[in-house]
Amino acid sequence: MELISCIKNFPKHCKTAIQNIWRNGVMSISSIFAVTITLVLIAVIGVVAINIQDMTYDIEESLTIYVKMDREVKDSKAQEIQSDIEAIDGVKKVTFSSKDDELNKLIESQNDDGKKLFETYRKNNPLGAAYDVEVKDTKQLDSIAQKIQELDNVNEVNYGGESTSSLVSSLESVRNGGAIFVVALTIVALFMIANTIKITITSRQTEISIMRMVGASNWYIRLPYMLEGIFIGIIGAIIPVAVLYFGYTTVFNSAKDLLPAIMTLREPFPFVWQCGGILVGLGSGVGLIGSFVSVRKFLKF
Amino acid sequence: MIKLENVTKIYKTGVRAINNMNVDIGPGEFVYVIGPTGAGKSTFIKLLYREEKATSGLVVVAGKDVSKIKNRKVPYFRRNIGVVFQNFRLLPKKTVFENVAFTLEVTDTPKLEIRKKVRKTLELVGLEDKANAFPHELSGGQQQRVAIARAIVNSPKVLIADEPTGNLDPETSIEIIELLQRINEVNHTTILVVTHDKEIVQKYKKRTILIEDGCIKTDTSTGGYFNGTH
Repeated sequence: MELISCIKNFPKHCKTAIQNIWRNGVMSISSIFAVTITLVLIAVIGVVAINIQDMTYDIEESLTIYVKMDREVKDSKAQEIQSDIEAIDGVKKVTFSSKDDELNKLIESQNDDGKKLFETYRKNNPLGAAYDVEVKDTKQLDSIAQKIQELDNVNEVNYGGESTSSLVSSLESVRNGGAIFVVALTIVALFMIANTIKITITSRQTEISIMRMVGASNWYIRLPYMLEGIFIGIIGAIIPVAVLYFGYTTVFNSAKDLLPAIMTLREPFPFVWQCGGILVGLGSGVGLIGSFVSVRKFLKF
Repeated sequence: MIKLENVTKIYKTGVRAINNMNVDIGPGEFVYVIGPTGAGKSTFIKLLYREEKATSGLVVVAGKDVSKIKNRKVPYFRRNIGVVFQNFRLLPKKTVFENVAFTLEVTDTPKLEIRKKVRKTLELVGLEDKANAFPHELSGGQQQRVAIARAIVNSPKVLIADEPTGNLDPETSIEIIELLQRINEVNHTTILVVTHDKEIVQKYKKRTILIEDGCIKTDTSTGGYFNGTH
């Protein structure tokens, strides 16, 4: 019975909510500001953290183990251990590179003089074949490299050694630190919004007691406040979404020229819309919960 | 209409506000409740509209055993009772019309009927030309009229007025009391007026209940006397 009444009166409650926001002027504006500021903060830090995370993954992705075979081993023989490497736990992808491929790579990396010089080695290639091994988890680089070293005909295994290991662990801590920071900031921000809404509702305690006096059921009182919270959240999210949209596309376009190739930012679309959706959801969700909790305090008999 | 049997109310703080009280008020009666501050007047009327629950004893209002009403059902019970306060307690962000209409809106009354009833009630209290004003634009007496209109618009069986003239000057007070009497005569609403105002009690003689120390000291209807000098 109460539920039916709530649904039937829904348009009226919406109207009341909007009317309340309008007539409460300053209080509504302060709530909206609180939402706006915290959401802008979350948006900026969140986007930065996500991009840093992407970059660290890209860097890790490019960390591979370079396996040099013995020089005297023929290509066909060298290829035999591919399956052995693939069988090692944690290996993602193994790419074979024949003697000729290795020479081509070497020649390509030289200047004109060098190219001519190394071109003469075509007939009698001194280089061995090689493997490029990608691993699933970069923390295992060390142990996998050791296992490959033990295979037959492997001359040298190179993965950057200690410095790579420490790079991996520092990337990992950057990522974790960023995630913790974003989560903590979000929680703080949400409390701030909920608190502001609570203050605005506390100032209307008499209003609620009057509604109860004339026989309004609890849901009848609660619903307009909850809608008000949602609307405040949505209105407060407008500016952050705009900032995100224009800010990120601008930064993305200028970063293309400024940042080195390995540090690419995430494509703006649909990324901006996903983040915008999250912001609107956060704003309205917190508005809803904040007002629900604060009204509940005044509805106890 | 209102019946208390051996009612005692002890607050959590240990204060014994109402002490074994017995009252019977019939339908359509007009009753003054008087007494010194701290005597238990406020607790007495709070028991009636279920703002407080009696510690022991029976409270019956409009045919309902008040202490047996579930919390969830309290709003529905309150629709039988109109309450008017000393400080008016109007919704500040709503117009006069909206304030009065609010009582009917919460009971899902059709719009057309709301408009009709509100207009009629505003006419009764003499504020038909202030329908679109906000409470802060009105005088104290006018605000109290709005509060009364709000309390009676859904034709409650009982109207409780807690010091309705406490914030008003003597002339306005008389207007308000006369208005309450008119409502009592026209709508046959049972009316309880809590007051400090001796002049009013003496000018418009009605049944008068004197509460002292949580008990009924005198009740003019049961042969008790009232000399107006308490």
